[in-house]
Amino acid sequence: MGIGEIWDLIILSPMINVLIVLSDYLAGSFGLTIIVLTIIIRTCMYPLTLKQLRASKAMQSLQAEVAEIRKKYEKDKQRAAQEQMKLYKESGMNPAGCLLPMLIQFPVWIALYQSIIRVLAVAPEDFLSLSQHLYSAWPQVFSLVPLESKFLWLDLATPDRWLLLPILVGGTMWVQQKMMMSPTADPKQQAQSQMMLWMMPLMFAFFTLQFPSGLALYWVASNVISIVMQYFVTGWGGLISSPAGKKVPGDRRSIGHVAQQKAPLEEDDVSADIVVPSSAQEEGLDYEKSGDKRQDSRGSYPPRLRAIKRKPRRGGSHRRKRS
Amino acid sequence: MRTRHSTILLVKISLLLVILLLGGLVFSGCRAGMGAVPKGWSGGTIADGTLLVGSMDGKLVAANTTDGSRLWGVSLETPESAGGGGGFGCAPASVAVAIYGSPAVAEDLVYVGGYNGKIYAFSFGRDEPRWVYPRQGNIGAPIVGGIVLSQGKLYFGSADGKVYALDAADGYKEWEFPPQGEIGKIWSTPAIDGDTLYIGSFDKKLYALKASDGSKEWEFETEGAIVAPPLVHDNTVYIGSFDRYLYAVDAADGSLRWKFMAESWFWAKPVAYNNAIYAGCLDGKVYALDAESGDKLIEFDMGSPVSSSPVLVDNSIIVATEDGVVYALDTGDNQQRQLVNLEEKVNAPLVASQGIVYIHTAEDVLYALNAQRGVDVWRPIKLSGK
Repeated sequence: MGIGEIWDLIILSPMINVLIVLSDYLAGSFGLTIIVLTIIIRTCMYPLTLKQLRASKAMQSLQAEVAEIRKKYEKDKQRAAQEQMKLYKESGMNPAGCLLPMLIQFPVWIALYQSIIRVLAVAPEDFLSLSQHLYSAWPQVFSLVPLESKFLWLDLATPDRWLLLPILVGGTMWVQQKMMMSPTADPKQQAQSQMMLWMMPLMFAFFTLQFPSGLALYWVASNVISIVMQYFVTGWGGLISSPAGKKVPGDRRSIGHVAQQKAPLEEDDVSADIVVPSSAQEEGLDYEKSGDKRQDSRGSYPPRLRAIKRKPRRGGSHRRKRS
Repeated sequence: MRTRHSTILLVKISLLLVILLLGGLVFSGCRAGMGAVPKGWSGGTIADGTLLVGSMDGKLVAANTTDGSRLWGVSLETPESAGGGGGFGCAPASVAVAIYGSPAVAEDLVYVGGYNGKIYAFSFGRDEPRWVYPRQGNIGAPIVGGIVLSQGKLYFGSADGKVYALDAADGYKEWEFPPQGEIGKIWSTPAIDGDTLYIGSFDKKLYALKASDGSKEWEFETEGAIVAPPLVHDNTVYIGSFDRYLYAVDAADGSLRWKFMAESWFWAKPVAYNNAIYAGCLDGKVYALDAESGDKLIEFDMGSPVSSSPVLVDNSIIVATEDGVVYALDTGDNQQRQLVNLEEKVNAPLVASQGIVYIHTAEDVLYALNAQRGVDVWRPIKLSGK
């Protein structure tokens, strides 16, 4: 059995049949079907997404330790990398884990794209091949295709000619990216962050102009779900940004300065004091929920991180106070 | 700070992966097999020793049936005028106009429909079309089904959900059905019997229209979309549907006579012979049914879906499977005999003349096979690229 056959058997055929049956339950609306499918997929991925959000936050929260390692092994980069990985390992995280939810979604995108061009009868060759993917155990799927391609103003088989969908895809992705962003005072960092903030949304907006609207609808729905998930886990994050290092009253993110102060400030590390690690946001959420009045840990670490042995820095106090 | 760098590195890797994936998707999406690029599967039409067929690079090709020599080839659109190709779907990647329907021939004109939503009428050997319908632009949707000619008129269905009748001489529209609005998308080739035109639609209905003015005589509803061309035989219309049934419908009033259930879609046009209906199915079988009752006489296991319409040669039904295996089904003793394995996908309808079967494969190769022995009558010719 070749890779293509395995792909068809495990991913493409199930997706095609599920889409067709779902559309039957949703009054034949393929647009609604894609949205419901997105919700199902994102729900299935929720544990992984949560893990990703927490992992990325935890990675940021370890920056103090990592900075120390870098400083300590400034002249031995290999050793520094080893120690860094060791630290990650001890903290129970995998830096590559942040990419997993995105990697998992790649096959979903490909399968959805292939499903759309088949079930909507975009080209005769693809539509003809559809019959080989239908489950004979589900007789209704044979009669239900091709599915209805009209949804709102969209023809789900073709790119949106009114350009609203590219704007929606780009816009929702921008919001999502912005929520994940950490403010920084370092101009270089800021420029990089800005580039990343705009590049992905613009790229996806461009792809939306090339792909069937059905796939873009999945992206919009997925982005909206991500925004909602992210809001409940981390709050608005970088979306409601404040001047670097300043606390915004009432903003959940402001509680993040708990972690800001835990970071060792260095002369050359301007940005270190204004990063708002997501883990701190999470802490903040917990405090809010529990009614804990604690505002400032005075540099103390979360219990999990306290276990990580830290060596005092050479000369001077361990941590400087903010001016 | 460096941690942030590594985070940014991860994001950059993600970006790169996304670019690679989506770029690959765009690229592969504009190629056959994975994407929505129509290539075409035109069958052939024979007239005066010439086989006319649409190639997969958007040309109408004329070949000599005696020796397979290429007589003439003309592009439906030039790259400059096509404005990016097929006109629909992933069209900008290609300038070739996909041709699915078999050409039609009348006197000195050859007619062919393109996936770009246009009908072309060419004089034999001339590179410029005599006329194009519509004169400006296109119908607005692809033409996938074939054209039928009857009494000076051309009839065809379009994916815009309309049936058209044109004057064969000048290409002016005689009528369209429905006059307002649209029925479902049409990929089926119509059939004409007397003054009635029969055509199936994606809206699951078989329509009977008066060929002279396009008024509806009756409609028959199935449970699935209809792509297969109808067969009219002995006052009965035989039509396969996506609901996996083959229907026998009274040609006069559209009442159901019988129906037969298979295991997958019917895509090919059935063949009638000796009071039996032979229907190829995408479940990989050819069913022989009693024309009167619909009872199954025998089924032939082809081992691969049958989307190409079979053809009758003498007393044998010649069938090509999607896998490219060509069989002769003897209608006398119901024996199934493999003629040849072309090892190329076959979707185009078969055409036969004087004991020779012409097969246009998905590799854009035209074969001429002796229907008895399965050997090549002349060396297969590659239609595209010349």
